[in-house]
Amino acid sequence: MSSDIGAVNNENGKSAPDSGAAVASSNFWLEALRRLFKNKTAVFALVVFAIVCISCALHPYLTKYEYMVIDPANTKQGPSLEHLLGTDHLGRDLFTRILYGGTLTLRISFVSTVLAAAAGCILGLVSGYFGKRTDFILSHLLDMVASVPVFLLVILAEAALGWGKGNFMYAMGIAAMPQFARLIRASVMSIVGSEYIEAARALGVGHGEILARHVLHNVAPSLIIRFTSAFSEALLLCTIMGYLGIAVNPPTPEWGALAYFGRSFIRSYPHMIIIPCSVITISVISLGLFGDGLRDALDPRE
Amino acid sequence: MAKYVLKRILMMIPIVLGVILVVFAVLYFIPGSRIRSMPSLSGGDALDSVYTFLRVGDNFLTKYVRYCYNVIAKFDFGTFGTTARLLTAEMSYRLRNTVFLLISGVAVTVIAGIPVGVYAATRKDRPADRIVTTISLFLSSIPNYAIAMVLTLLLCVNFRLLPLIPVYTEPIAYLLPAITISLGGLSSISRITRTSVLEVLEQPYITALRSKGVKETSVVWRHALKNALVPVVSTLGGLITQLLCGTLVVEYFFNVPGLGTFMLRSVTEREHMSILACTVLMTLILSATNTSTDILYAFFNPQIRLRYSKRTARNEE
Amino acid sequence: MEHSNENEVLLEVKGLDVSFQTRRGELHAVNGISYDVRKGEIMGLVGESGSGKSVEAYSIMGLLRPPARINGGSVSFGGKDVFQMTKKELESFRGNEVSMIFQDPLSFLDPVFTIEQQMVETIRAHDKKATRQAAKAASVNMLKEVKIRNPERVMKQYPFELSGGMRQRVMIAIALLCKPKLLIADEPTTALDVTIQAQVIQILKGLQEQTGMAMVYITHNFGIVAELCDRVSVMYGGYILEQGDTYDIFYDTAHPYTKMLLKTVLNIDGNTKGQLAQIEGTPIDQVAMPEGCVFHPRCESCMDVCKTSFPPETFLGPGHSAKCWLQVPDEAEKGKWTWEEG
Repeated sequence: MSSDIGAVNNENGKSAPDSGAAVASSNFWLEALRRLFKNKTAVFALVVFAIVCISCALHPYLTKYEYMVIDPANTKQGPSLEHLLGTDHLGRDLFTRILYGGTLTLRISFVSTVLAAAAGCILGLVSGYFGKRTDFILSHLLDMVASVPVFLLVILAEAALGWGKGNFMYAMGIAAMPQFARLIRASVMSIVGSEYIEAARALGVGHGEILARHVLHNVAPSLIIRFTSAFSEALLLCTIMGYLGIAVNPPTPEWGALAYFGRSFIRSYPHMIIIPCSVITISVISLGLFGDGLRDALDPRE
Repeated sequence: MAKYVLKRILMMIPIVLGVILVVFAVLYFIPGSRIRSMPSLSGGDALDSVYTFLRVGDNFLTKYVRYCYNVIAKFDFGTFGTTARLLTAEMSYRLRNTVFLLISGVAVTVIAGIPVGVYAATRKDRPADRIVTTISLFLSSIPNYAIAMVLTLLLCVNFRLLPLIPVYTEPIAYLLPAITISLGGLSSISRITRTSVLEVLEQPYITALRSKGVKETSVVWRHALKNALVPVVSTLGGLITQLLCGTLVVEYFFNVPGLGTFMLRSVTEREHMSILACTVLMTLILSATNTSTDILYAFFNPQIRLRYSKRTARNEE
Repeated sequence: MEHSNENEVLLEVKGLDVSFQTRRGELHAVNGISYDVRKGEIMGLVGESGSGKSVEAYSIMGLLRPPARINGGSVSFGGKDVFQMTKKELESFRGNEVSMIFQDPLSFLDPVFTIEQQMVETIRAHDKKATRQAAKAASVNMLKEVKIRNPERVMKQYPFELSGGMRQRVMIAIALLCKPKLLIADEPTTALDVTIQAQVIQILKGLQEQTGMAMVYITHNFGIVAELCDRVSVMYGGYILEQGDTYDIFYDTAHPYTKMLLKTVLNIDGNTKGQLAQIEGTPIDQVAMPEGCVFHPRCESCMDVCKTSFPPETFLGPGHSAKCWLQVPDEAEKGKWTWEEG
C-alpha cells in the first residue's frame, strides 16, 4: 500500500523529503528563533505550557495538602479559597492532585518521547547506513509496528512485561519510534548516497564523523518539529490511556485517571470531570500550537 | 480490478495469521498464562487425528495451529472466566455494538467531513476557513472523553434531552456515543481534505480547466475534489484505526456493552483468552478496513486501477 | 504580411502591469506592455524564461490569482474589458472566445478524468443544450482534426496513458472545441521531441488557416516564429523591447537583445562550423530590477545613458518599434563616441 502511494506522490512531484531541505547553520537558527518569537500565538502557547509545567514541578510548594490524604469531612466540594479547585469524592484536594498528576503525565509522555527519539534515531541510522538487507528487515519491522494500533500495542506490551508506569512508557516509546526512525533513515540515505561524503572521505574524515555532522545538520530542524508533535501526541495518548486505567494503577492521580474518577459524579459534581479535562485540553492545545509555530519557524516553505 | 481485489484479500491472510502468532506468543509465554494451561479447545475432530498421526505433543505450535483452526474454521474463540463461558457468544453481541458505532462514526465522518474540508479550502484564510480550522484543531487536541463530557453535560444534564443512564437495548442510546466518535474523526478528515484540496487547486490542470471556461463550482467540487480524494482515501485506513481507538474510549465513557469495554475489563482481570480473542477480532476489523480502503484507493486512482487491467499502459503512435 | 483588409483589432493590451508579492519583495513580472492582435493574425511573443510571457498570457484570460496583482493597464477583447467582467461573463468568455494551450500537457490535463469526460465537459460548459451524444461526436471529430488516428480509443483513455505528442494534440483539440476567436499557445512544443514539434506546429498552422482564428504564440524559439508568426514582440524582464512584422524583426533587427536571440537560432543551411551561440549573463532578477534599461547589464553595446534611464519607444517603420537608446539618433552618436574613447 505505502509503496503505491509513494510512487504517485513522487510523480506529482509533491513529496519532497523533509531532510536535506534545510541546511542548518548558526544564522539559520537565529533566523528561526526570530521568526518563532514574531509568532504571537506560538509565544503565548509556550508561556501557557511553561506555566503548566513549572507549577506541576513546584507542586510541593504551591499547596499545603497531600495528594492522597482523604478528608471525609470535606468531600465533593466546589472550588473555594480553601480548596482552589474543590475536592473529590474522598475529600482530597483537586488542585494538589492535578499538580501531582501533572508531574506524572508530563513525565511519562516526555520520557516516552525521548525514548522513542533515541531508539528511532539509532534504528534509523543503522537502517540507513547499512542499507540492503539490514534496511529491508528493519524498515519492514518498523512498518509492522507502525501499523498496529497504539492501544493494542500498549495493552500487549503491558501484558507481556507486567503492569506499571515504566512499562507503559516503554510501550508508548515503541509506538512512537517508527516515525523518528523513518526521518533519520531518509536523511542518512540521502547523505550516504551523495557525492560530498566521497569528497570528505578523500580528505581523510571518518564515516562516523561525516554522518554525525551532516545528518545532524540536515535533520535537526525536522527532528525538533517531530519531537514536539510526538510529545503532544504522547501527552494526549497518556491521558487517554490513563482514563482507560491502563497507564497507571488506580490510586495514582494521573490526569486521565482523574477525569475517570470524575465521570461517576458528572450530574451532581461536574467540576470533578471538567477540571481535569480542561487542564488536559489546555496543555495539549498549547503544546500543539507551539509545535505549529516551531514548524513554521524552522521550515520556511510557503 | 478484480485481480487487484483478489490480491489484496489474499494478502490479508498472512498478515492476520502473523498478528495472531505474535499476540498468541506474547500471551502464551508470560508467567502464569492461562492460555498455556488451557484444556484442549475442542476434541475429536480432523485436526486431532492429524496430531495423533504425526505424534505432535501439546506444545506451543500445536496450540497455535489449533487456535487458528478453531477461529477461522469454526469461529470458536474458546472460553473465558471461571465458569468457562463461550467467548464467541459473549463477543458476537458486543462486536455488533462496536461495529455499529464504528460504521456510523466513519459514515458521518466521511459524509460530513469531506465537504467541510473542501468548503474551508475554497474560503482559504477567510473567516469561514478560520472558524473551521480552529474548531478542528480544538477537537483533535482534546481527548474523546472530554468531547463526551461536554455533550453529556449539555444534552443529558443541562437540557435533559437524552437519558443520563441509557438503556442499550434502545437505538437512541447509541446517538451520543456515535456523535462523539464522529466529532473526533470529523476534525481530522476535514483538515486532511482541506490541505489536499488546497494542494490540488495549485496544480496546473486547475488553471487549464478555468481557461476552458469550466464553472468554478465544477472546478472545485468535481475536479479538485476527485483529485484530492486520492490522498484522502490513502489516509482513511489510519483514520479508521484512530476511530477504533476512539470507539474504545467512548464505549468506556458511556458504558456501551461493546468490544472495547469487554477488552478493558479483560485487561484489568488478566483474562488472557479474552484479550487474545479481542485482539484477533480487532486485527480482523482493521485489516478488513485497510484492505477495503486500499481497494477504494485503487478505484480513485486510475493509474493503479489500470495497472491491473488488460489495457496496455500506453498508446504510442 | 498585409492585413489591411481585415484590420479589425481583436485583442488590445494597454500598459499592462503585473507584479507578485513574494517573501523577498515585489516581483515585477510584467511592466506596462502594450500590443494588439488583429483578426486572423499570428502574433509571436518571444523571450527567455522568466521574461513575463506566461504571466502576460494568463492575465489576458483573467486567470491571475493572488499573490499576483494587476497594478494597471487594461486588456480588451473585441471591445470588452476583460478586467471588468463578472465571474459569469469570464466563464463564458474563457474557452469560448479565447482558449489556451500550455507547455506541459501532462500536468495541464486532469489526471483522474478520461479524455472523453474532459472534452464533453468543456463543450457542455458553453453549450447547455448539447446532448452527451452530440458532444461526444463533436469531440471525436475534433480529435480527428488534430490527426489522432484512433479517436474512439483515445477518448476512453486517461492522460497518463498517452504519449507526449498525443497529449499535446489532445490539449489542442480541447482548446479548439468551442471554436475560439483567439488561441493563446504558451510554449506548446517546448516539452516535445523535435520531430513531434514540427507535427504539432503543422497542425496548429493548418487549423489556424482553416478557422481563421487569431493566435498569440509564446516561445523562446525564433525558428518557430519564422515559420508561424505574422508579427513578433520580443520580451525581456517584463518589457516589450522590440515589436514588428516578422520580416522586419529578422532582416531589420533594431534591438541588441533581438540580435542575440537570433544568433541562437541554428543556421539550417548547414553552416554550423562556428560555436553554438549563447547569450551572456543570466536573466535579470525581477525583484531587484536594474536601473535604466532592463537589458543593460547583459548588453554588448551598453552606453552610459543606458545605465541611468529607460529608452523611449522609437518607431522605425510601419508597425516596427524598439526601445533602445541605439535607435535614438542623438544618443547613439554620443554612445559611439564614448565607446571609442573607452
